[in-house]
Amino acid sequence: MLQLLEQTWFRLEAYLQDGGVVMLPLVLVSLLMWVLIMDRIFFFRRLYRKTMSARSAWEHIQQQRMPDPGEYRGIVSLLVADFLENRSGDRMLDRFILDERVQHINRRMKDYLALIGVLAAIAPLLGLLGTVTGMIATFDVLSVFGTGNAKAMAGGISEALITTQTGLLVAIPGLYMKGFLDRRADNLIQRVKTVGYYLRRHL
Amino acid sequence: MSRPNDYRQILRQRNRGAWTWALLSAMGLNLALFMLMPHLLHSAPAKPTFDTLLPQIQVVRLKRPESPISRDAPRPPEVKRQQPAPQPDLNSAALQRPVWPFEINARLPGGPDTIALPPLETNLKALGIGDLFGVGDLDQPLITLTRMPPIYPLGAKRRGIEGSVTVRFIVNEHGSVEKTTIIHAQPPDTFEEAVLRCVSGWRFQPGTVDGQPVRVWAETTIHFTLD
Repeated sequence: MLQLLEQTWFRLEAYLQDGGVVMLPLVLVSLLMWVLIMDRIFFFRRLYRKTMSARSAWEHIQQQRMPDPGEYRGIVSLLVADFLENRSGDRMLDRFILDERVQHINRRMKDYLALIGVLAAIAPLLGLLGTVTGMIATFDVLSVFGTGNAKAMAGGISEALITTQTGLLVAIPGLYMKGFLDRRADNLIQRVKTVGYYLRRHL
Repeated sequence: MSRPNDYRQILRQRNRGAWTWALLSAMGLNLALFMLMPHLLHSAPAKPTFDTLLPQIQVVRLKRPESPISRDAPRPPEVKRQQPAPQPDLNSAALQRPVWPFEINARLPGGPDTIALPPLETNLKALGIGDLFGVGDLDQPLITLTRMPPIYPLGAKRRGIEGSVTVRFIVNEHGSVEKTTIIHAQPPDTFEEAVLRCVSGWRFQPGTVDGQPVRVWAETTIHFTLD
């Protein structure tokens, strides 16, 4: 088991070395992208669970009662807590305040999603850059040794292909997760909006 | 006033480790992803071969110093045997020659001069007979470097005349064409000029005999056909 792990690690090192300089930004992009993705996954998961129904939200507002963090931790309870902290007591003004709070929470749902998308889109471009540098290295070898030295040419070509492969392998799950998170965010935004309209009608 | 703070604080406490968890899980995921990537390439892992090769190299290195020593040891006696051997031979030959007076010596005065053939060959070359070679005499057939097709004469094209021209030329030591002559032209006075113009522009790899570039005469027939 340990030997297998060691061997895999060695192969990884050789792979990164074959890829050349472009592998470093690729790894960094991948790491940053996945940190943001994981953070958003946890963030949405917290807001998804133990959510509050619109009726109990209205009850809480009527009774001026902060939601119990043990019972309610979802996004609706966040809206209720936010509104209770900021409400003025005037009915017309409260409606505007509620709208503003809904907007504020909805905007926070979209945080980092654009950045994740950009990082996922950058990865194949970095792979392309690696391809170009690899091909330049190949042609440098060609200009010195001619077509005879296949071994030296193979270095540049492997660099070109490895970076492309890595770029795609970083981008594909990244784009999938971007879509998944977008769906989650839309879902949560929809929830907040629905509850917002419900509360606005009752205020 | 204390309650809203409580709610916020509790939420914040729960979310405190979120980024570290995200970082750790992302690192784990990345490690797994990048470790799987090399397995997409079906190249054999290089490390085990290194491990097996290294001890072998060391064994060879240990052997190397032994062999030169063993080789050096027998060498000096061989050299010593060789050096004295030729010296007496030369001396004895030099000594023996005057000792043998041959009767035949008087009969063969010009012998060595006639046997030496090189002057004869140079004489032939100087005469220019061996200067020009046919294509068959070459080490390898003539290789064309550039061979422009002739321009189809406009008048002949308009009238729809087809034909062929046989041309003879000399390829010199530098591979360019000299002394182009028309041997046969069918029909006459139509294609000759075009052929002469294009053949003079041809370049060949110089023909060689025994590795020496030589002048070669060659003959070719160019056909003019309308598509």
